[in-house]
Parts: sequence; structure tokens; C-alpha cells
Amino acid sequence: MQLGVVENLSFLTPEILLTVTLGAVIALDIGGPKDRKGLVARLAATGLGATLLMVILTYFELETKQRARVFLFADSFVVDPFSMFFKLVAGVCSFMIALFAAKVRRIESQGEGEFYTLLLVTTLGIFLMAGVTDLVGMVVAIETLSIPSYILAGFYKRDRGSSEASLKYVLYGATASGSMLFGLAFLYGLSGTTSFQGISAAIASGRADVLSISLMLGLVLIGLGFKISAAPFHMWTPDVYEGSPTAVTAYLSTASKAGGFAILIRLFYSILARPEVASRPEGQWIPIGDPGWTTLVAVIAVVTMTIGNLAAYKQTNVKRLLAYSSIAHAGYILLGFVVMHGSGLMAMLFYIATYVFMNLGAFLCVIAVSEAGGGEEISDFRGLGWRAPFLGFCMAAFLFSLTGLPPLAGFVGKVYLFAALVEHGWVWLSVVAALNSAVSLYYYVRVVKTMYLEGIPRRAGDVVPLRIGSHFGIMLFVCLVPTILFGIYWQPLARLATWSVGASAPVEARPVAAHK
Amino acid sequence: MNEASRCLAAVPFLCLAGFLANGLLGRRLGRNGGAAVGVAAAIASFLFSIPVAREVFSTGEAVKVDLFAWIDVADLQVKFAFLCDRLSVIMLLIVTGVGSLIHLYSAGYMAHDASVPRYFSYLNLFMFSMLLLVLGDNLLLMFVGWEGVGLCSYLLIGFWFEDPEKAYAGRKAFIVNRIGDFGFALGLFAIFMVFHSFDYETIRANLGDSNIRGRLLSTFELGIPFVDVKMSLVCAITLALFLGATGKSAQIPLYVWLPDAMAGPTPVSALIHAATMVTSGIYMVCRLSHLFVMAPPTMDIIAGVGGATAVFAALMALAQNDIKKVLAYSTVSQLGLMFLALGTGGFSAGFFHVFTHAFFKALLFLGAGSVIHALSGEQDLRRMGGLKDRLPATFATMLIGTVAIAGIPPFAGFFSKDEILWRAWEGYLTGRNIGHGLILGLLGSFASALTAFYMFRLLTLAFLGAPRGSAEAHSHAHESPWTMTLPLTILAICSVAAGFLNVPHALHGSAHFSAWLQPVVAAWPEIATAAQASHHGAEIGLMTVSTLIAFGGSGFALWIYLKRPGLPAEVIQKSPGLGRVYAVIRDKFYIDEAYDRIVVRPVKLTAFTLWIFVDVLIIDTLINVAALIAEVISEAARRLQDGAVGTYAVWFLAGAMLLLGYFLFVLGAA
Repeated sequence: MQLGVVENLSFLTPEILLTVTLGAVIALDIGGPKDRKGLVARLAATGLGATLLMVILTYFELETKQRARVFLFADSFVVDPFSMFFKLVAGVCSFMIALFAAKVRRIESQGEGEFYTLLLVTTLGIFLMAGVTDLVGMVVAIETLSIPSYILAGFYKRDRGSSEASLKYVLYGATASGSMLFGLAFLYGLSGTTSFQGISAAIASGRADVLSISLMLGLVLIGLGFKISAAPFHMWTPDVYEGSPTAVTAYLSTASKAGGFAILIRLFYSILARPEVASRPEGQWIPIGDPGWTTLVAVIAVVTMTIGNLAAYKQTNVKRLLAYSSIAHAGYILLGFVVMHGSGLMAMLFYIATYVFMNLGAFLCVIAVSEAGGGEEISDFRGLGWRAPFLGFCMAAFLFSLTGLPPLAGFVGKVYLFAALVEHGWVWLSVVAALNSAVSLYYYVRVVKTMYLEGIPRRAGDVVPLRIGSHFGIMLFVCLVPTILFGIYWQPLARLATWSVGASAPVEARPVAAHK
Repeated sequence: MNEASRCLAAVPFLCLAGFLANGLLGRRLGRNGGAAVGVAAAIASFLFSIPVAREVFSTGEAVKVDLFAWIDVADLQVKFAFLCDRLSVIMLLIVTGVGSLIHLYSAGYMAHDASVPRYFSYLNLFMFSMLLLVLGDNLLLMFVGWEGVGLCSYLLIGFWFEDPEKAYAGRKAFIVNRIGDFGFALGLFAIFMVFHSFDYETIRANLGDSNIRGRLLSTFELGIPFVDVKMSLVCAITLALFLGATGKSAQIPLYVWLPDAMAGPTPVSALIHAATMVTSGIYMVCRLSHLFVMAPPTMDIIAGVGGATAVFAALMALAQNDIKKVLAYSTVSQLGLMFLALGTGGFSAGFFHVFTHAFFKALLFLGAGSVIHALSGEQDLRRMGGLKDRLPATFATMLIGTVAIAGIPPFAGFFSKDEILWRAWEGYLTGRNIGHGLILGLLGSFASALTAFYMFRLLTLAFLGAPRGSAEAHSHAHESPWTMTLPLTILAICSVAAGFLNVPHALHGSAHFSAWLQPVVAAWPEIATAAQASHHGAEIGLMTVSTLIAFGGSGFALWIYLKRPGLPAEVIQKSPGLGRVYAVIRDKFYIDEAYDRIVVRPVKLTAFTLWIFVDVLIIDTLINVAALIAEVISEAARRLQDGAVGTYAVWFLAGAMLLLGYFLFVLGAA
């Protein structure tokens, strides 16, 4: 669809609004009144809320134009339902994190202006990652996300753990970015173009060798594997997640990962695969060159989930436990990637959307407990089910959903993933994944057990209530509703995910000459 | 969506709201608040069903409301939609109307209980589930309601769970019902297999399709070793569904849970175990009547099981001394009569009995509750007597209920029972199917005679004669509050009047009720339906005999228990043979004991063996070994993560090399 510059820009309203908010936050932080407690937080949250609204409106706009996609900036950026889905997910995450963080005292005292500035920049980074279709744009988008993330991880400047997390994140991130950039440079060198479609076309025309391209994509996979914390590039995750401010951890484990998956899918499915029927990305996909890379991803998925689940087994710190759990979940989500069928991609999208709510919810529980004066060790959760009944119930629901038990959202997500695997001949993979889920039950339930079966009050009067306050209560509820609702009535989300894959996924066979 | 369908959509959810309010905020609402919310929810649902009923009655067309697409996976498409047609509108009115009265009654009956909000939350949840059951426009939604009412029944029977016996009764009801539900679920699967749909309308429409008809009538081997039994698919489906009905509607062989279910609060017995839930099996058969009539063997089994249950349960009711147990067996017996009618194709006759029975049996239970309430929990008929003057309102209303159930004209039970008996005897009286008609007719008439007898026995023992309980208890007995007597009065009025809705043609009535249901239930066998029109003489003769039987049974009971209270004991003493028969009846034919020996103990033994050998020895060991391995690996994985960036770098490098190595050597070599 060719549109004028102004009409094109209207599809970028979310990004523009985000940037405006960013500017306003900085201006308010520097030039605003001294006594402006919470004002910045409110501004940022309002901006994010408005952005979210614009994302939804743009989504609708695309839907009314069925299968519409809009290429921008010399075809280096695309606005399509696929990218909008990820923007929606990331927008929800950022919005929720902004609201959480507003009540975290330590963030306030450290300078909330900086926190929200950084948060908004990372969000912008993810929005870019969702839509980028060009190698250079990809680097810019990823670094827009990464660099502020490093600072956010170390946001508690005087906290040793936080500083350590930041440092490790930078070191590991730099290494991963380095290998990715190396790979990208070669991709350009081999194909003579920076556009995803261009590379694909170069392979098709025989100008570039598939094997070399695959090899370089392997290097890129290292960088993206780091972003989504896939094994063996996950080592940073537990340390960074444990040390970072919990709000940041929640963000890194949800929105940031979603961005990584968005670009992973688009890059690989643009270059190394094509839909069997060009207009039907929701159907079967044909690998270009050797299909062996799907096996490699399958192995990575298995190793990732197994390491995540097994290492979570013996953790004593809830944040660290959730860090391993999020590694394991990256493994589950990767399963959809190897199927080479629209149903696998749809399952990934569905899973990411549900995962975001349950994982955010679980981290929110940790924040709420520590803000109410509790700790982050599992032992600090003793009797919590009795001391804070609503929080206990929510946490239990989130953990059971993460395990994948019905009737919760996580169960439905796993059903879609496993069904896609089984339908397309990956039975062994689904068996391994199911066994992994069984293992994960152990450590999730251990937390629930600590909350409910330990420290049971003898008499009703013995309960020392832990008051989490209405702010966190409402936010917990907001996470709880989709976690339960999508376990009972998931049709709308499933349709949205299917449509987002079907209408857009990566790239349609577009005449390459158009942008030469 | 017009007003009626908007109201229809609201009806079940009002009860759900009541459940949520009481369930979540019960502690804050307190006793009175909880009761008020519960009763209000029930009454509101009744008020909202009035416009729906008005619409259905005035147009004769179904009111539908399509809420959302519930399941949409491959070719399984199920809507969350409600359908209120000629059949379900009657159930809707019974459930919300009688339900509201019983809610009101409960507010008085349970006033002294410690956990009123919990009680009302269960009761509202029951109403919600029951409404899903009757209003759902497809079998899957019915199944949700079916399971929901089962759950509520379990929760309410074991409402006073501190008493282990009551908790046991709840478990028994639940487990026995699971067996039936298993059959029901099998039936559902098979229906989906054939029709690829759960919609009533689709199913009914597709029954005309010759392909589907052929498939349903095709026979298959049952696969029982050494016996060559063939069965048509429709027969298997309907039998499986009927197994579900025997569970929920307490028929042989699954009736055993209902008498024990009397452990629950009395209003629960009235609502769930008399008026509504236990009739859902009959509702289901009527709903799928067009399918059932395709399987004549199933119909005969239904008639036979119904007739046998009617007599068998009536016999047991004779020898019970617990006032609620008598009523429980009476319910089983009356449900048997309804199935007898269904099995002979009298769908409207059976369903009319559902309708009248809902009134007088709820009335009798509530009356019994009023007696129990007045005597502070006394349930033994042998310690009652002479309550007539103490509880005048209760006595008057219970008298009406008793007369109605005994089948004395012109009370409601007479008309509905007469219709059933005509159906049973029809084969014999018209000479169409003499043996069949004779057996079923005798079963039906004998059950009716017994009904008249045991009900008047109950009434006499409780209200007439001299007080046999302690003088103190008798003098403390007082009439119940208005919340309890008002429902009794309303139900008594209905028990008198409801029968006139279906005065048979033979009595120059217009059989409104049968005509009303005619478009929605199957007419089968066609000859029988036609025969009724031309055999008015025989029908009137049968009616006369039935009336005489009813009077005879009632009079006999009055004579024995008023004039010769010692007679039964005397007879038993004089004739040891009769004594033994009495003992067998009193001990309920040892069915519970037999089930215990044949089913429960072997199952327990098997379970124990499996537990020791399979679970503890094999599975636990395997799991423990697996857990041990997991723990060892987990420890290793944890060690790997030593926090030193150097180690991470090494792993990063190793990972990168493996990855690139794979591309180079595995893919490159290929």
C-alpha cells in the first residue's frame, strides 16, 4: 500500500505519542516543580495508556482494511497486525510496570524521572523491534531497548546486587551484541542488501549462498538468544533478575522478551522460510535451504526449558526462582518456532500474551509483599495465604497458570503449543515439553505450599494480616482477570493471534526491485 | 434481542450473582443479609422469567438468546445460548417459582444456623446450574448444568459436614451420580460422533436425514465374549443417556443415594431431591424424545425400570419410620411412575407428573420440615402424633399434599397419575399389546395403591391420634413463622389447582398440557396416541378403579393407624413368615448391603491392592528416582551458575561454537 508521508505517519501514532511522552517526562523532570511527588509517574502512565489506546485504534484500522500492511521509511519498517500484536503486549507490560513502580518507594527516592524516561525509551525500542524489517533498523531497535535496560537493572545505585546485575548485563549483552553485529555485517556482505526481503530475494536468485546466510543467522541467533534468555545464552538471567529492582525484572521477563521473539520470528521466517501459499502465512511454511535449523532451535528449546526447570528446583529466592521459570518459558515459546506452520506462530503469540499476565502478576505479588514489609525469600512467604488472602489466592493462580494447569490461561497456551507440535510431527518434542511442565509443578507448588500449608494460624486471632494496599490489590486483580478468563473463554485472544499471524506474518513476497 | 430474550439471558445470571455475593462477601453480609440476598436473587430470577413465560405462552414459539460462541475448535462449535421453548418454559417456572418459595422457606428454617450465607450461596448456585440445565440450547450446556446440580447436591447434602454420617451421605450421592454421569457423557460423545453437533435443533432436524438415520439404526456387535448380542447405535446411545437419568433421577439400580440424601437440610430435600434436580433425567429424555423413540428396546427398558422402581420404592416407603425417609422413597417411587409413562411414549403424561409432583412433593417436604422444626429436630414418626392442633396450618396443607399425591380427585395428583396409568394400561385395554400392558399396568396401579397407603400412614402417625413423644417436646411444638407457612399455603393451592391444566378428553376436558407439549415431544407409538381418543369408556373405567384404589389405600391406612395401631405388630408376631417379609422391607431389601458386598468392597480391595503394589511400589519408586535424578542435575545446574562472569563467558563461547559448528558441519555436510 503506497501512501503519502502524512498518511504513513498516522500509522506511527503510537510511536510518536510515546516519543512525545518521553520528551514531556524529561522536561517535567528537569524543569518541573520541586515538590512534584508522583507527578512524573502519573504523566508517564497516562502517556503509556494513551499509547496503548492508539495501538488498539491502529489495530482496528488495520483490521478494517483486512490484511493491510504499511511499509515506512524506505521499506525498513512495517506496520502490520503482527507487529501491532507485539506492540499491544509490550504496551500493556509497560503500562502495568509504570503503574506498579509508582508505588515502589525506593524507585521514588532514587529519582523517578530517570526511571520513567528509561522505561519509555525501552518501550520505544520494543515497538521498533516489532516492526523493523531491515538489518540496520534492527540493530538500532535492539540497542534502544538494551542500553536503557542495562541502566534500569542497576537502578538502585547503592545496592550491590543491583550494580552487579547491571554490570553483568552490560558485559553479557555487549558480547552477545558483538556476535550479532558480526553476523549482520556478513549478512550484508553476502547479500548486498540490508533488507530482510532483499536477503531472501538474494537467496532465491542464487546471488547468496544459503549455507553462508544460515551460518551468519546462527551468529544473529546468539544475540537474540541472549535477549530471550535461551540456553546456553541464559547465564546472565538469574543474576540480573535477582539483583535488579523487581519492577525492572518483571519488565525484562515480559516485554523485553516479547520484543526478542517478535524480531526472531520475523527475521528467520522472512529469510529462511516462505509460506507454501504466498497469501496464506497462517498455513504451512516451507524452509529455504536445509531445514536443519529447525532441529537446532528444537534442541535449544529443549535445553532451555530443561535447564530452567531443573535449576529452579532448588532455589530459595522467589525472584531467582521466577527467573529460572522465565528461562523455561522461553523454551516453551520457542517450541512454536520450530513447527514451520502458522499454527505454531499463532501458539507463540497466544502463549506470549497469556504469559505476560501471569508472569507480571507473579512479580507484582513479590513487589507487593516486599513493599508491605515482607521479603523475597520463599521462607518469607510462609502463611501468606492466611495473612493476605487475596494476594495468596492471586499468587497461587499465577503459579498454577505458569505450570499450565486448567482452567487457567497457561493451560490453554500450552494446549495450542503442544497441539501445533503434535499436528506437525514433533511428538517427541511435545513429550519432552509435557515432562518439563510436570517438573515445573514441583517448584511452583512449593511456593503455594509455603503460603498455605506452613505457618497456618492456630486460631483466627493469631493471623497477622499483611496489608498490600488497594493500589496493588487492583493491579493484581487486573492481572488475575485475564489469567482466569483466557483459561475459560480464550476464543477472542485466539482469534486475535490467528489473525495477527495470518494477516501479516513476516513478509509477503514483494517485488524486490521496488526498493532497489 | 427483544425484551423477553433479554430477561431470559438475565435469569440464570441473577442466581449466579446471588451465589457470588454470598460466596465472596458472606462474612460481611451476615446471617440476615445473606438470607436476604439469597432470597432476593431467587425471587428476582422468578420475576424475570415471567416476561419470558408470557412470550412463550402467548406465541407458542421459543424464546432464544445467543450469548457468545463458547467453544470453537475444529468442527466442535458450541454456543453459549439459552432456549426457552414449550418444554423448558415449564421447567423454568418450576425451578424459579418453587425455588423462590423454598428460598423464602429456608430463610425461616435456617434462621438459627451458623452458616446462613454458605447455605444460600449453595442454593443460588444450584438454581444457576439447574437453569443452565433446562435453558441451555445444547447438550453440552445441559451437561454443565447436570454436573453443577450434582455438585450443589453434594455440597448441600453434606451441608452439616461436621457430622461424619452426613458427609458420608454427600459422598455417596456424588459417587453414585458419577456412575450415571459416565453413561451420560458416553451418550454425549456418541451423539457428537453421529450429528457433529450438540444443538437440540440441529439434532432434531438431522434425525430426518436418511444418512444419519441409517447410521443410527445400524447395528453393531457388543463384543461380549461368548454371547452374540447386537444392538443398534441409537439403542446404545439412548441406553447410555438413560443410565445418566437413572443416576440423577434415582432409578434402579442407582436410586440408593436419594434416601441417604435426606441428611441435608429439609428445604434442600424439597427443592433438589423432590421438585427439581431429580426430575432432570425426565426432562432430558423428553428433550431427546425424538431420539429415544427410535430405539423401542430402550423405551421398554425405561418403562420396565420405571415400573419396577415405582413398586419397589413404594414397598420400602411402607416400613420407614423416619418422616423424611418415607418421603424420599415416595419420591423415588413417583419418579418411577414418570419413567413408566415415558417408556410407554407418554412424554407429556410423564412431564405433567413432573409438574404436579413438584408442587405436592415440595409441599410435603416443607410440611415435614415444619414438623421437624417444631419438634426441634425430631424425625421419627413413632415419637410424633397428635400434632394436628399444635400445627394447624402445617396439618391442613400437608393433608392437601397427601390427598394430592394419593391420587384422589380432583386434586393435582389424580389427573397426572391417571394419565400415566392410562398409558401403562393402554396396551392391555386396547388389546394392542396385552402382556406388555398388563405388566406395566399392574405395576403402576399397585404402586399407586401403596402410595395412598404409606402417605396416609405418615399423615396419621404424625398428626392424628395421641402424642407419643415426650410431653415436653409436644407442648413446645409451635407453628412455624410466616416465611415457612406462606410457601406451604401457596404450594397447597397449586397442589389443588395444577391438575385442571390437563383434564383429559374423556372427562370432557381439553387436555391443555398435552396439547401444549405436543409440538416438542415425540408422538409414539402413533397407535397409542390415536387409541386414547377412541377408548373414552375404558379410560373412564380405569379412572374409576384408580380412584377406588386410592380411597381404599387411604382408608385402610387410616383404619389401621387410628383404630388398630397395634395391628401391624400383632400380625408380624403371629405369622413369622410375614414378619420376615416385613424385616426385609424395613431393611430396604438389603440393597445397600448387597451393593457393599458386590461393588464397594471389591472396589476398595482392588484400590488397596493397586495402592500398595502399583502406586507405592512401582509409581512412587519411579517418581522418587526421577526426583532424585532431577535433584542431582538441578544441583549441578545450580553449581554451573556460580556468579562469576568468567564462567559465563566460557559457556557463551562453548554455546556459540556448538551453534556455529552445527551449521557448518551438520548442515554444511548435508
